[in-house]
Amino acid sequence: MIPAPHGQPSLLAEDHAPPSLPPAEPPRESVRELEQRYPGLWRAGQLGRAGRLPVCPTGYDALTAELPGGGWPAGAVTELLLTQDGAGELRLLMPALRTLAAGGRRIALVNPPYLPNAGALAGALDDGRLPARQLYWVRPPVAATMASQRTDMLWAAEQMLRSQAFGAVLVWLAGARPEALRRLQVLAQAGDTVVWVLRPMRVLHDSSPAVLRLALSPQPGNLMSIVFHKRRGPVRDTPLLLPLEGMAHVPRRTGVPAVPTPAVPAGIDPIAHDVLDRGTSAAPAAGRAATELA
Amino acid sequence: MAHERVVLANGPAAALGVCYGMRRGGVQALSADVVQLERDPAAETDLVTSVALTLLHFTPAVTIDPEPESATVMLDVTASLRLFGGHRALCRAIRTRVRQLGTFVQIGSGTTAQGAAWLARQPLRKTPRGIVRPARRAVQAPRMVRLLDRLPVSCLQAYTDPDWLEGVGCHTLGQVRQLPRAGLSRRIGTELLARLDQAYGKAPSGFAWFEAPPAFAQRMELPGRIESAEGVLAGAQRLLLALSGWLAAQQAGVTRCVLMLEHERYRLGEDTESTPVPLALAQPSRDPVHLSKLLREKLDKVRFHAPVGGLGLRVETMETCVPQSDSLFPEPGAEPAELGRLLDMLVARLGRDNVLQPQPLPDHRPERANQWCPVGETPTRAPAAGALPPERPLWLLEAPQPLRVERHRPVYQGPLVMLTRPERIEAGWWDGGLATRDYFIAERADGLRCWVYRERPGRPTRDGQEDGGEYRWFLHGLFA
Repeated sequence: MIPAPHGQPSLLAEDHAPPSLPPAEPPRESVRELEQRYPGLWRAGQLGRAGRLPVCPTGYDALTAELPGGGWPAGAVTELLLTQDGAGELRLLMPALRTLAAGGRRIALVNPPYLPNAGALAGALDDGRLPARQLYWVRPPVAATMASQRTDMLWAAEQMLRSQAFGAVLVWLAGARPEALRRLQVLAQAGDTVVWVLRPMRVLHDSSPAVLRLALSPQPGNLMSIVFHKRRGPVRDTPLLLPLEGMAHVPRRTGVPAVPTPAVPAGIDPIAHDVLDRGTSAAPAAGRAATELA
Repeated sequence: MAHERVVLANGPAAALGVCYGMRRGGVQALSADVVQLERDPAAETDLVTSVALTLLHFTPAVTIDPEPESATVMLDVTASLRLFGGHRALCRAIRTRVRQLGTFVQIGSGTTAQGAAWLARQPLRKTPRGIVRPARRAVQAPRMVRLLDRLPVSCLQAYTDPDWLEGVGCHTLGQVRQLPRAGLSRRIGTELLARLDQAYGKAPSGFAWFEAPPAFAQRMELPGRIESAEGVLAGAQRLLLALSGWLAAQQAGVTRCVLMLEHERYRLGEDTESTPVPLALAQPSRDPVHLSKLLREKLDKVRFHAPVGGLGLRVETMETCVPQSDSLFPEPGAEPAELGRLLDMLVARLGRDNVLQPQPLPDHRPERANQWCPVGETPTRAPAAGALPPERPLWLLEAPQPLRVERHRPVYQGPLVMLTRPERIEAGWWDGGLATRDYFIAERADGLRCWVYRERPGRPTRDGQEDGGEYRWFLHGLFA
C-alpha cells in the first residue's frame, strides 16, 4: 500500500500556495493590483486560489495541482459523478479521509450503494484504514418507500452538516433535485465539513450548485480517469489519469502499460485564456480515454 | 360556573351584564349566546402544579400559595438573578416558559413573597386614556414600600371585608397601616396584621416549599380529539416543560421515557389500548427543545388508529447530568454533546439499526467479518488490530451475485480477467455456514476491479442446486 503523502497531521492546509503556472502574457498593472487586493479574485485562465478558504489535502500530487486552492474544498459541496459504483471512488478519497481522521474528525457514509466492508475500512490509521470510532454508516430504513428513503437520507445529511460534528460527509444521492443540493451547499458553507455528494453520471447535464464537479470513471491498471466539469479555474478538456492508492501488489493485466501515459500532451498549454463558456459538458470520459489508451 | 354560579366572565359576557355570583338562569335570561363552561378545579390544580414543576428550572425554591383562589406560584430567585442574566431577563424567561405551557402569567416581584404576590395580582385597568399597566416590580425595599402603600384594599379580601375598611376611610394599604394596631387587631383579628407585616418585611414568613415528586409520571387531557402528530406534540409540550423543570430539580437528565397516547375508550365498541411512544437518548438531556425534536421524529412514525384524548409522560431511567459551563473558546465539531444530540435525532427517525459503527470480527468469511453495530453499543472488545487481511474490497454485496460463465470465464456486464492467484477461504464448518471458496481479484475491460469467487464443483452449493461439474462464479465485492 502506498503511504499517503501527508506529513503533518494538521487538519486543513490553509493558504495553500497557488500552483505556479506561468501566465502567457504579463497581466496589466491594474489587474495585478486588483488580484493583490482581493485574494478571492482569480483570472479565468488561472486556478482559483479559493481565497482564504480552507481545503483538505487530497494526498495525490497530480490531483492537488489541478484543484483550486490545492485540495478538496472544506465547507463546500464537491460533486463526484460516477459512471459506475465501486469504480475506486473511496480509494480516491481515502488519503483525505485519513487526514481528517488523524485530526480527530468524524466521517460519515450516508446511503452507500453497497455494504461498506468494516474490515477493510476500519482499523489503524497507519495501515491505511480509518479509526472505527470515528466512522459512521447511516442507511435508510428498509421498509420505507423510495421517496421517503430519499428524503430521510437528505435529512440525515442536512442534520450532520448542521451539527458540524463531522469532518467529512459522503452522501450518495442518486435522485436528488438541484434544490436539495443547494440546501446542502448552503449548510456546508456554515461549517468546515468536507462534503462529497456522489451521483450517477446521468445527472451531468442538470445544473448543480457544487463548487467542484468531477466525473470519475475507472481505467484498466488501477487508474482513475477524472474529468473536471466545474472548477474555479481554466477549462481542462482532457481527463486526468490518476494511479489510485492501494492494491500495489496486485499484478497488472498483461498488455496494460505499467506507467500511465501522460494524459495531457506536452504541446498544449494548460492555461486556456479567458475561456469561460464551455457550452455543453464533455462527454463521459470512459470511452474517450479508453480509445486514447488503446 | 361553579355551584351554578358565575365565577368568571370574559369581556363580551361582562359587557352583556354577566357578573360574579349570577345564577345560571340569570345568565340565560340575559342572552342565550353566552357559552357556559363548568369550572374544573382538578384541571386548575394540575395546571398550577405543572407551572410549579416547570419553574423548578429557574430555582429550587418554588412554593404554591396555599390560598385556595389565588392560583399563585412564588419563587425565591435571590440566587438565580445572576445566572439568568438579571431581573428583567429572568422575568422574560419565566413569561416565555409559562406561555409555552399554554397559559398566561402576571409577574410581580418584590422583596417579600406576600408583597410580590399582591403586586402580581393587580389587574390591568381600563381608563378612558387606554389600558393602564400597574407597576408590579420592585427590587429595592423603599420602592417596594411605595408600591405596596398604593395598593387598593381589595387585595385583602381573603382576610377581612374590604368594604368595612373602605367604610372607615381606608382605600389603600398605606392608609390601613396608619390605623392603630391594637384597635385594628381587636376589631378584625390578628390575621390581617400578620399578613401586612409579612408583606412589608417586618415579620418573617415561612413557606411550605413545593417538592418535586420522587418519580415523574404526569398525564393531561387534550383539549379535543386529536389525530395528528402536530397536535399531540403541541399538547405534549406542557409535559416536556414540566419534565425539564423536574429534571433540573433532580440535577438529572432523562435517558428513557415513554409518552402514552391515551385513546378514547370504547370507540366503535372496542376498548382501544393506549399507544406507547418510547423515547431513548444516548446521552442524558433535559433540554425541552431537544426532547421535543426527538418526539417529533417519533410521532411522525406513529400511526394513529384512534383519536388521542389524553397524554401521559413517564420517566423510566435517568442519569445525573450537570449542565456544561460555557467555554470561552468553543471548539466546533468537537463537542460531544452536539454529536450525542445528532445521533439521538438520527436514531429517532431512522431506527437503531440504521445508524452504525464498524465492529469488524476476526473471521475469514468476509460476510461474517463485516459487522456493524448500532451507535451507543460499546464494542465488547477492541477490533482485531492484527495482520492486515491480504486485500479486501471496500464494498461488499449484500448477497453474492451469481455470474454467468462464458468460455469458462465469469461475466459481469463484460468478461472478467483474473489478476491474482486464488485465495482459498474454507471456513465455517463448525457453525453451519460452510464456505469453500476461491477468491480472485478480477478486472473488467473498462477497469472496474471486482472481487469474485468460485465454488468448487462437487460440493453442496449455496442453494442446493446441482452444479453439473462446473465452477460456479459469484461477485462478492467491488474495490471502490
